[in-house]
Parts: sequence; structure tokens; C-alpha cells
Amino acid sequence: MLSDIYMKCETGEIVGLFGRNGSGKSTLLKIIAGIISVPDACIRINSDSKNTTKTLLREINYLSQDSFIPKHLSVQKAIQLSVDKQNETFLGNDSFLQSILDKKIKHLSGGELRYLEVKLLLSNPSKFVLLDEPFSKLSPLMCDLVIDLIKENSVRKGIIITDHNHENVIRVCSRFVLLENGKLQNIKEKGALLY
Amino acid sequence: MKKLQNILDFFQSTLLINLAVCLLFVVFAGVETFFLSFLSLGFIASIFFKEKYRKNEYLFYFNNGVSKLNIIVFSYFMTIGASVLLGGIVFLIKRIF
Repeated sequence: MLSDIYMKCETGEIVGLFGRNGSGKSTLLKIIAGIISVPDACIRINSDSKNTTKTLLREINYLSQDSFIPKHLSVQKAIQLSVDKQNETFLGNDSFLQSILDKKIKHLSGGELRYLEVKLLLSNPSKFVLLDEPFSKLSPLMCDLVIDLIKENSVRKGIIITDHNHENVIRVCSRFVLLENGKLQNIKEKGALLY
Repeated sequence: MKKLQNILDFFQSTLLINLAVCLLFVVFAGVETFFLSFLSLGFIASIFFKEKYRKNEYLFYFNNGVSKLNIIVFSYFMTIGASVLLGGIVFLIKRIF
């Protein structure tokens, strides 16, 4: 499905990955994160080859399409397990998160859960974050919050986003690539997205 | 520390199914099968349940720096530790009473 793909993402960059349904966007992100292992894949971070899951764990975080926080946890516990104690600014003045702190994950709405997942991943100390459909199930207001979060964190991270909500991806990304017929190509004009 | 907390949480989440399987063994095969089932079929059943119905949750621990293999292996070590602790308590109770 995927062949001869070369993808680059630098710290401070937000790359939008586009492609039709089934074109392999999620598969590509899983390969980069080390969740799917394939022969001849080479991931390099700061010129160092990172081809084992163990080495990639510390460097790359991956947001999957489906929710992944264990349902038996409370929001507070999920935050405690994900965020370093030193990161006291995590909650900050986020009134939305503070209002759901005592809720169980299984009782959150799809949008609440998606926002929490994106915020947890972006607060991790990893160098890169891969976001697979971060805007799914989010209301327009929550989409704006997530866009602000992504922009805020892109200063210290490289971020790759794929989402069928193209408007939001275009709003937040600094560069775009298109995955078509198993090949990756750079997009210079937004018109090229009319496929 | 964060990794250990994640492993502990995963271990705790396997306990309910493990103990339920052990209870079945105790009811149908006797109390003496408890520890054997706790360390074998009970644990395997809990991992099977996770694999079948909660597979995506491994990603949560993955994003917190613990791979799937690591979390399963360390949970098994914790299961062994728990059975030793439980065995010690049972032994003490028998000695006292």
C-alpha cells in the first residue's frame, strides 16, 4: 500500500497529511510511531536512527482515531498517570478540564474525551506528536480550543496531523503533504487538495 | 515513577478477571487450585480479555512510555508478587489459628 515514502518534520512545524479514505494515512502514522513494524522503515530523529519501539517510545506520541484512555480511570487519574509531577501548568486555568476532573472516562462525551486525549499527548515531553483525526467529535468551539493547544505546543514539538476536517487542518498547519497511490507528495497550493 | 504507576494501574485492571477465573476454579476444582489458576489461566484470561475488548488501551500506556510487551511482562511479575504475598498471609493465618 505504501512505498518509497520520505517524510520530514521539524520542531516548530505542523504538517498536515491529506489523503482519501484508505490511502494509508493512519498506517503511515503508526509506522512512524513504531506501533506497526515494517521491514526497511527508517525513522531518524536528530540524525539518530530510532528503529525500535523502545527508542521511539520516548520521542513520539500517537493519537489514534479511536479513544485509548482506559475506561476504568477517572480524568484526574488519567492526568496523574500521563503528566509529570513537575508539569504543574497542565491544568492551569483550563476551566473545562477542571469541571470534568472527577468524572470517569467512560462517562465522558466523545468531544470531552477527544479534547482530554489531545491535551494529554501535547503535554508529554516527547519531541513529536502524531495526531490522527484530532478534530473528530469536537464542536466548533472545542475545535478552536484544540487548534490553540496545537499552536501553543508546536513551539517545542514537531506535529503531524491528519483529519478529514480539512478546514481546521488548513487553519493550523504550516505545511501540507498528500498521500496518493501509496506515494507522498508536497502540496504547494491549497487548490491541489481538490481531489 | 510514572512508568511504575502505569504498570501498577494495568496490573490492577487485570485483577478482576483473574480473580473471577480463580473463583471458578475454586468452586469447581477446590481451594488448592487457586494459586495455580491465579498464575496461569486467570492471568492469561485477563490478557485475552484486554486483547479482545480493550486493545486500544495499550496505546495509553505506550504514550506514557511503557510498551505492550513490557506492561504484560511486569504485570505478570506483579501477579507473582501478589500470589507470594497472599500465600504468606494464608500461611501465617494457618499457623496462628
